[in-house]
Amino acid sequence: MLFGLLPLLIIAGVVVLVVRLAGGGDGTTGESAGVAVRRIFQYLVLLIALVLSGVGLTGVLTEALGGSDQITQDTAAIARSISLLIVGVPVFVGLAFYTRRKLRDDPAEMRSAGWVLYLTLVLFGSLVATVMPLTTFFGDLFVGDGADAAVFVNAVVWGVVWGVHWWIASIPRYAPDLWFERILGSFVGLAIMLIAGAITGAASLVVIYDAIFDVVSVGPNADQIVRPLVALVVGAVVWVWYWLRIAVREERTILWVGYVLFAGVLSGVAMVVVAGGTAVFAVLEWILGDPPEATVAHFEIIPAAVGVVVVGATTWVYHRSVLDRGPVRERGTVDRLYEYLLAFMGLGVTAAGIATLVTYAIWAIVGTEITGSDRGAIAVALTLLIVGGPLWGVYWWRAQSERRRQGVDEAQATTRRIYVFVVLGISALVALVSLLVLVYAFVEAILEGSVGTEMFDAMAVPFALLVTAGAVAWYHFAVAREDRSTTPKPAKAAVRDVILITSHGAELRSAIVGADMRVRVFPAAGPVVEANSVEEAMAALSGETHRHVVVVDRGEDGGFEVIPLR
Amino acid sequence: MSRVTRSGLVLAIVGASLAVVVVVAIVLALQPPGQFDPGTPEATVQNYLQAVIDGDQVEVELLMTPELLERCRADLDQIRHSPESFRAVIVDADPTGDRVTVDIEITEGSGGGVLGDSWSFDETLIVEQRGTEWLIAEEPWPIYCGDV
Repeated sequence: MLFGLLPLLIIAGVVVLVVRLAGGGDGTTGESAGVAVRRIFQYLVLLIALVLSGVGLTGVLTEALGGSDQITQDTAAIARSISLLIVGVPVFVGLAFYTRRKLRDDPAEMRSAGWVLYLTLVLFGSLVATVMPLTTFFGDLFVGDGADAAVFVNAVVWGVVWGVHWWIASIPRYAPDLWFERILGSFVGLAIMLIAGAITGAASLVVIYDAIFDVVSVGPNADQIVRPLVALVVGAVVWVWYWLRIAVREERTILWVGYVLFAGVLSGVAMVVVAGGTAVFAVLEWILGDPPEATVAHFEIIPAAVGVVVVGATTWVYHRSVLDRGPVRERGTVDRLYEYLLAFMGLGVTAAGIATLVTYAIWAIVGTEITGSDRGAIAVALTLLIVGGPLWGVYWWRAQSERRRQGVDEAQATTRRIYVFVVLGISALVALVSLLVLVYAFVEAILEGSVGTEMFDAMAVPFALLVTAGAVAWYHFAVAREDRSTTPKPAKAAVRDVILITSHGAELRSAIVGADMRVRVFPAAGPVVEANSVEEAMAALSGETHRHVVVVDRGEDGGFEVIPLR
Repeated sequence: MSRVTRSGLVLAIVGASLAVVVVVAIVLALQPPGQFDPGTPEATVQNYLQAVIDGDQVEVELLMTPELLERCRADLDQIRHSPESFRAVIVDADPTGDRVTVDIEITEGSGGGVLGDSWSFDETLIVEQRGTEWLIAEEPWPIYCGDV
């Protein structure tokens, strides 16, 4: 499996390293472009050699452990595996020793992007390549046809690769900051736990339900409970190892918060909403429709939904508590992205439900339908409303609370503006297209002379979309206007009167007028006479020949200025 | 008392209006469809389509002419046609002598109602008067029993 991931890993690694090279060398260590190039090829070839060696070793060991039930031998596969070993192992060993020497001799090598990327890719790739066959191996052991040597060999070989590199990454002089790899490992464990946990929970509760209510159906068998249970245990081990031991205590960077919000909280919310919606639909369909199966069989989906809800709610509550029990953080872009994304999804689901119900109402009023088997669609529409409404309500209310609390900071936040204008844009577009279809249907009916119930029947869907989209657009337009009104207007210079005393101040006068101020100019007849006391000021005034003079008291600075006017 | 914002007022108006619309829509949508007068071609078509949806082979046989029933007997056990969503509308009823050609538009679908996957197609049922009853004489959708 790692062989299949190899091209992707190589491309990812080369892209990252080339970007760093284009940035003027290895930014983490300040080294030159030449060193960066060396590292690109060194770690790239090291990675390729490792993967080739691993694939070759698994191939050879699988053939060696083929067992007495093997009746044919794939010589081509054996030759391929041996070739990979012969070429890959010496290259890997040589480069490994070279890398070790570099790490010992140059502390900057440990912090280099190449070393970090190599360890990240190897640890992540080998983790996935170990977990998958390990799950299959134990599943086969418990409920399958027995352990498969090939699966076991894969798990062991890639497990050893992971273990050795983990040990290397823990040695102080080789240990870079692998925060991203910890997040990746946590994600792998969490994803396996959630999927396997949901399947296990659902299947187990269905089996119990079938037993209690004596439902005869093709329900889950042991294989469908034990295999996901095995995967759950494996996923839990990985999650504990990566998340509980290490990553939960890492610094709360944007990526860390993003992981907790989107991988932890959002996945839990999605599971609760989807499974809850499924259960609600089953109830509504039974109430409104006429499902052919017996009631007990019809509600067999409920315990499955409950199982998924429990798993989803657990991860939601746990990751929310992890966020909340940390130090108080400022609301950031990640928080906004999470809330507005969920609000957007809830709004879309709610609008779909409303539009569907309005359509069926119009059809019922027009009375053109001759059969009554659309109860299922009405149950779906009600489910969309019941699920989408609270989802939008909760997250939009939180966003609006922040808007009231933070004022212009939240109102002008990029994420909020994108949300409001995307919703406005989509609803306006839908309304416009619906109006076009409405008018077209009306005009066509007039031209064909078929104005009547059939025309209204054809207009039901566009009319419902117009009403729904129009309501959404109207509300969000009001929100956008309110947000815009909180934008502080640039301070306008208060118009005030300026008395300018100057001998040649045309430029200054123009500047004052240009700043929207009124100015009265008094031409000065001569230079300013400085007087340090009242007596000096009076003496200056006595000797003054001009009829009009301005005297300015300099206040705390002391003294006066005597300015004759023309 | 907190100041009521304009957007809050709009939301209250929109929300109240939509709540009323939704309640009315639910009540209306759950009403059974209007029934055509018994003994009319439209009533026969309506009963026939409802029997097809319900998989009621007995009712289907009662609504067919004896000749059509004989031709279709082998296929009648496949008469049930009940997709996730089904809606039929009579588009036209064109009488010709003692026969009426009834054109219907059928909309089937899955998923979220009108916004899920749905597709429409036209079908024709030919009903013939036998005494005081109207019976399906030709093209008994969804089964095709071959030409006469």
